[in-house]
Amino acid sequence: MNYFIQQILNALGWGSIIALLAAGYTMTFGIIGLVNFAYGEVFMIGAFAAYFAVTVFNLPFWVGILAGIIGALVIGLAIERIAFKPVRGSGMITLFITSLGASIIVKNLTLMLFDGSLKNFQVPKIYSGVYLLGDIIIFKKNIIIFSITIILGIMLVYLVKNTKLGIAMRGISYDSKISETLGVNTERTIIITFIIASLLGGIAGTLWGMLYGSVKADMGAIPVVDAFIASVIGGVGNVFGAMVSGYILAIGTGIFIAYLPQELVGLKPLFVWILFFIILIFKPSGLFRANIK
Amino acid sequence: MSTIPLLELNDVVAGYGKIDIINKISIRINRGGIVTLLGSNAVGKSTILKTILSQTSLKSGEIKYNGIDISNLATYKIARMGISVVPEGRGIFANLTTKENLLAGAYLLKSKQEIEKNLNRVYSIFPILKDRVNQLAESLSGGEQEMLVIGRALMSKPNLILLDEPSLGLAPKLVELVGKIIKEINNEGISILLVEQNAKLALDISDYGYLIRKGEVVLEGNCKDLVKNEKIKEIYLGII
Repeated sequence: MNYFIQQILNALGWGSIIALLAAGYTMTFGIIGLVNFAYGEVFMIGAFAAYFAVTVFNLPFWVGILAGIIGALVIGLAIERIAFKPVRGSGMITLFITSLGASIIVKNLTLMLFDGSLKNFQVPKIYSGVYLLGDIIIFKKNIIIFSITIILGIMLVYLVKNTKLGIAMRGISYDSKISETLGVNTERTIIITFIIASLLGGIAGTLWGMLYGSVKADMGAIPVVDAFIASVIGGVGNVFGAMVSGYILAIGTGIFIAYLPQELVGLKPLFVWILFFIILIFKPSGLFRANIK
Repeated sequence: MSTIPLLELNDVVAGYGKIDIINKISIRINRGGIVTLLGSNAVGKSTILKTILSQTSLKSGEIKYNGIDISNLATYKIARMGISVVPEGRGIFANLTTKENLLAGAYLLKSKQEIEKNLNRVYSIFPILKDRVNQLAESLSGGEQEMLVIGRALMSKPNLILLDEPSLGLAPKLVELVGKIIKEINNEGISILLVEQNAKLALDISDYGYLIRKGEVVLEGNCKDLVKNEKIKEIYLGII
């Protein structure tokens, strides 16, 4: 039993990062129907900005978090203005290709400038260390990352459910033309959604650096796929559903690997896809109510 | 009292892409009036409403609201000037609850007290909506959804409501209720532009009417006179 609980606790850090990314992903996916593969690069640039602030320029960690947020915001908005706005209203295929193109450009630019090697991300000693609960080891940084994510999650769900902005976002997800007849400036609301999503990406990137002690130019590829799967499993456009699904994916993967025979450890990536297909077969709209037409 | 019409369309030509749906349409709505656009399916009635809201291409002509040119103004800006719409096919947000749909209608209001006051007013007009307050809008019946979308249009305290086929798909008793509610709303000073295929309902409750055929106005007049018109009687009231 302790071994089982240990796997859950170990997965909290990774689960929190996927939860944050899934929340940001589902917001843009829900509001403009955009499968944004460039979101992994927003996450990566956020991590790199934090890395430069903390490791290269030796600035305090809180400045690193700020740098991560600003870096992600700048690149997220730049991608929105250059790659997505000109093709707004085009079909899903066009948006998909554009996002893929933006992802390839940003990733390769980063590779050209900073190469593909692992960069050491310095984490202050105060965030290192463990707590012991009998035989169970609880990593301090997992608790910190989990707590930050839960606080952000509560704020996000409140925003979406209880504020005018949230109702406008959910209205636009369903029918943007009707929303406009109610006085909603859909263009401005879309930009605000991108800002929030980029913010979440930047925070997630910084927390990744904190969790794994490193950043890399291609680090966005796998998390963005996991975030996409979590947002679909959670019900498209449903922030709460996306975050819960992020934890389900991470914790499920952790338990799957822990109990998998050593010789089958290569099957690890399969878990996420198996879960994805099982859920879609039995509940095609996702575990929670989707927010789109 | 201002003599400028609340809404006027002057020689408006509009459509989708290269296709003109409405051709040199001129319409006036005076403050406090109910004006109806009559005509069968696909003659351009809904296109007129969509053109007012800048949801189609205005090719020529002008649209003025309170004397201000609103031709091609962004839809959300037109809504902010005091025009609400009850779209064809209801246009509820199925993913939101009844209350959330109504609150969406209050998007432009800043005061919580005003929103609460308008919410209570809508509940007094449509008590059934209060019973369904936390229900998802998609689970409401057709009549309840129509009440919801009219209630949503009232939330922002508009000066003018554009109603597109509010009786569509409703049972006769509900059609009568919708007509009664439109008159009640109008008695509070809200002007109405009504698009209806149900000529009897439209002529019963409206002051002035325009008969639209193939995107053009072919007949107009006070509804009391239109109802006696042989053409209208024959085509729309089933009286030969």
